[in-house]
Amino acid sequence: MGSNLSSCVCDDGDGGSLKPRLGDIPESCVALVLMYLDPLDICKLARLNRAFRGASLADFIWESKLPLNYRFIMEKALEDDDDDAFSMEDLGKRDVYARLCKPSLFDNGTKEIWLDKKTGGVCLAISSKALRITGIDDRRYWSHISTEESRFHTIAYLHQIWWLEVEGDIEFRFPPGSYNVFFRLMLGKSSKRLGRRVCNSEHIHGWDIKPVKFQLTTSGGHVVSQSHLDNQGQWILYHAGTFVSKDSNDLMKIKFSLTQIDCTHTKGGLCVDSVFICNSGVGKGVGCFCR
Amino acid sequence: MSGISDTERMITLKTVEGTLFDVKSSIAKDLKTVQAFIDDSDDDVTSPIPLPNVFTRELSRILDYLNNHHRFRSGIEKADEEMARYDAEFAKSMSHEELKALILAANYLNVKDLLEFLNQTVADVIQNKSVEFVRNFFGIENDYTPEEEEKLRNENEWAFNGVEQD
Repeated sequence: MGSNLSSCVCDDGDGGSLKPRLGDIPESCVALVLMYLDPLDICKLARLNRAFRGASLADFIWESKLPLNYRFIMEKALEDDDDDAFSMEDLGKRDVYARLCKPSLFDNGTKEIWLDKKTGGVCLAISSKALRITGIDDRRYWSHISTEESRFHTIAYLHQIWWLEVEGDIEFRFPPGSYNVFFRLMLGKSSKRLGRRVCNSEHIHGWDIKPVKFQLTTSGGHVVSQSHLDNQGQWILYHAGTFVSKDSNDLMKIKFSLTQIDCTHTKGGLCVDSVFICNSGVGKGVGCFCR
Repeated sequence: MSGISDTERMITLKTVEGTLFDVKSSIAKDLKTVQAFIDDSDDDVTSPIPLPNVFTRELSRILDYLNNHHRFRSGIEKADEEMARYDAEFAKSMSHEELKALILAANYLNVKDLLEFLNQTVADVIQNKSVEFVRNFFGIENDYTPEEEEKLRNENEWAFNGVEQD
């Protein structure tokens, strides 16, 4: 190394013509710059030239974007997948990241997990099939409807009931951070008529009388909030609460519920799709949830 | 060299234009390339060390940065704030051309802290910008064949597939 310094000959003739071009920067240096950008920018800039593409594949860049416990998340993502025989260790870290950004069903198809592309934040969706709904087996109250408007292709529809109680829980190791919990709900039943989306509001009633109650329980505490359901014909993410994960090694048990048990009035015409949990850094929640 | 403590020893560096810089050996330690040269020469360096890839403007800036950071680190209160303010001014004072030239010099001389700072600064400039902008900034040309570009588009499809713009 030392001998290079004094014996290095400037082949470009006089020093003045050696105008520094950043294209001369070694790939390793480019990779260091890329690490400060978000994954989408990194993939976009891979198009610049071959050196940039090479730099964009550096494992250390993607290790820094992956959640701390990405191996655990990978296990969940591949749980239901018998065909995926590839070994995770063989994949470059960028490919691991790409794979985890693809929504994967687990727990017998009742839950789905993916990483938000831009931030690497963990997102979870829990199907209505995995929720405990009081009276779900009674056809007078509830029915299951197949629909393309749910990522699980099925939702629970409430005709009418006095005692509305929807609850569920999940055990998971969340990367450190703050997470929002939402219930994805819609007033009214939607269907397609002659190719157009139509909303049937015949059963909607009771929501303007009293609000519904959302509860969220973790080892860190218990949060209660109230909200009036509205916006007929539109899927809305109702915020049930926020929790914080301190350590990705902690197996956290999150419990959430939606209730309206005031028995002086009935309510109905409600679609329950799922519960959605995502890292607070994920943009706007709504946009990233829709397929 | 007996009797002279390390912090007092001066190293002389020579830039492309032939300008000489006297640098304290404690500062020279941060120029890892230079330090390696000194180590290899068994500490017996008296003549100016030529830096054939480094221009006066860049070396001057680098030494400025290092001198200031050493000053901040030598125990003044609130050094972090002052250092952050200095860094911000330092970055702002350079044009894109100068920034690029400085990265090349800092990379050649292997100045770790400065390089990290410059990398972050460049990343801030190119973040969320178009491919053309970044191409211009770096002064590089697209060396892909159309087939390679197609392959690359498929490779990165996962990143752009279904991304909603807020």
